[in-house]
Amino acid sequence: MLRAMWAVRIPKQNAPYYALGRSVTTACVYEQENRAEYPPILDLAPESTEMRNEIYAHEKIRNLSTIEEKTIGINMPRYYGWQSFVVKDKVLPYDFLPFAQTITKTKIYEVDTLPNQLSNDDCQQFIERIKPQLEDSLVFEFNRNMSRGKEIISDKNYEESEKKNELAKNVAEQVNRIFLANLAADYPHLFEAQIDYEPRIEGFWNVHGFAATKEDKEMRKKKNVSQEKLEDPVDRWIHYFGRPIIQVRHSLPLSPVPQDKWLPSTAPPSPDSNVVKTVFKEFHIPNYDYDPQIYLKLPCDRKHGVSIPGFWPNDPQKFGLLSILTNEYLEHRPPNFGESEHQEAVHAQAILASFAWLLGQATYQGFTTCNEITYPFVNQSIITNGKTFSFYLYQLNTIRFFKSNDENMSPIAPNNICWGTKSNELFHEVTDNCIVGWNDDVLKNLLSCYMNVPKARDHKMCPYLGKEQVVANIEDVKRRVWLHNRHRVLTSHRPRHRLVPEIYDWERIYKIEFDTRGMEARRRFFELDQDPLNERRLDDHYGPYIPRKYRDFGRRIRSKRFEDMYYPNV
Amino acid sequence: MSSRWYPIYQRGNPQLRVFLPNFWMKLVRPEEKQPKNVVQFKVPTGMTNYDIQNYLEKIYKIKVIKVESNIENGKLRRAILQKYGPIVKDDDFRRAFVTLPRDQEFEFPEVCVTEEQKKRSSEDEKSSKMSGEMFKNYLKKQADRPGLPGWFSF
Repeated sequence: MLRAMWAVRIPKQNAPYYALGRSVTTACVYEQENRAEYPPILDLAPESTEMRNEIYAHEKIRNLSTIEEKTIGINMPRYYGWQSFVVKDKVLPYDFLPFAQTITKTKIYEVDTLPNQLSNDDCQQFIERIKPQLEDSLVFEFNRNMSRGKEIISDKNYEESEKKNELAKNVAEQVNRIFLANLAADYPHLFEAQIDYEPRIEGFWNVHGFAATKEDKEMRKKKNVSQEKLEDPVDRWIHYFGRPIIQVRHSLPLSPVPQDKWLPSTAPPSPDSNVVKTVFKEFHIPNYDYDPQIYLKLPCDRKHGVSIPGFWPNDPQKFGLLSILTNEYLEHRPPNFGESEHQEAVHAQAILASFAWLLGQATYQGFTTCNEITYPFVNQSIITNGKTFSFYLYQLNTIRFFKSNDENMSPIAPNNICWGTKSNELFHEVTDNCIVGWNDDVLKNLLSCYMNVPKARDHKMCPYLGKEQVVANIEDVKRRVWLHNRHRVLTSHRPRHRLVPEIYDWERIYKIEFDTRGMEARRRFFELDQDPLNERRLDDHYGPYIPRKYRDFGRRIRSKRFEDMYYPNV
Repeated sequence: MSSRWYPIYQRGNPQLRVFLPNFWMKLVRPEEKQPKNVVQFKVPTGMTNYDIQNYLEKIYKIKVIKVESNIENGKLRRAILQKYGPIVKDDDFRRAFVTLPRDQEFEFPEVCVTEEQKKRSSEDEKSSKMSGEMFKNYLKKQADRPGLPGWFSF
């Protein structure tokens, strides 16, 4: 193994050595050697250097003092954005759960009662109060949905037009309204909570461990990677885009699930519940390392990575309580996938939505996918199609899935945990403007979600943020405005001003694959051994030009013709 | 149906019945790591995903969950000995990924397993290795006498 041979730093001597006898000099050196400062001995093998650089860059991101700068910091190595797999909230291909679990490192327990479930006595009075109100609005929404999409031409003649399925959305909004209105008096946290309708959720994170594809191997061959390392697993960036129907958030976080409740208890089922208890089912974290571009048809796109939890960084209500999602897409999935597969798709949707939202929240506390969280985040989510409801509780324990993380944390790496129920019907059917067959278990689950009170924690919430916390608090006006604009442009996902460099087909055939134009000047990037997509950095451009009349009072001085830029040093 | 133009259906025509499809599907060994319930085929470009699904379901009675396919470019090569002459392109083909139900598995079989085949392939290897070495020796011999033919000296 190669070892760095660093020069030993010895404080300078005043007297030149030749003025003294040799023995005196050596004695002097020996004496000083005790005080010598040796730099650490580093392993200079390529892999360890790579690993060290990764950790070093992540440390730099950790030391940035504002949320926005950290977001820009993640994107610094790529001018045109990171090549990432795009996961969308309602696009769920066949057998998606293993992939969803792998990229979020989530263990899912399919249970009957969530760890946040309340006892029956607490709920009963609220259930009695809420039921009639819920019945009114549910009946109204179902009747409205029946008539929607029918254009009435005459009394008995109407035409079916394309039916828009908004039942789930409308029911979710009504349920949320009724629960908030009835519970806010007794539970002040709901009064203080902020509610977002159809917010924009994005999550951007890295996952190590995908099997190398043919292109990866070719790239590695070009970079002279040795034969046995051609097949090593690779990193992939994941970009999640979601839009829940409603999200409720608060300034305080939900308390983490105590460890003794992690594994579902085997307590006997409560006698009044009419649902048959199922055996609890555990889904371990699989290793789905196949190329999702081929087998799940996920698009692979070049994007600037941002994690957005549906609000701007300077919003005071930064912790999620509850998000409500819909699963009307199940109607359009092919029936030959099978019932259990549909159920797993809903689990996958819940896992991805919860993870991405919590990742966004963690980002606003100063953690990124490069810096591990120091305390767990918790979130509840409800998935409904207007009639059936499933409930999820998600605890985020880890967000860093880099290679260096894997090696340091092995063999017991932390994982995220999700508890979920199967889809249950809230009621059996609507007949004669009445609801038949209420399922109180679902109501109880709904109540438990709203009555889960967030609590202040006794540790530091944002250890990796400086005193400014957000860019808006930076005092230097120029820097503040510049960073604000840069962050806004980055989150907008508009393409870069200059087009992405492209290799034309004729160039690939006659220049790259077959060298038929040997006498031509080599000017294109691929002829100059450049890779602008992967090597050009975000700050690899000039600032705005300062016209002469605005600089140096019109004197002919060539210094500083471009304005300053305030990219973080990553 | 054999090699002829697939008649375009017009309203009112009798229903088209295909007894023997004009397509053939080639099962291929995956080059990359692939889920166990996925099977890879090379098929003609004219075949659609529905055609592939029906082909497997109707003829081979295989339960197909979904089919993903895309057309790939044929290989580019030099026409003469892979080295000289004009650049030509092989025919395009369609690569299809057929997903079976989750509980099923498919592994590409080892085709050459009989003793005779093994013997033949080892002999082929041996002879190609020998000719390669002979060529190397020839190059070595010719290194310091460029332009002289190989038969010039003993």
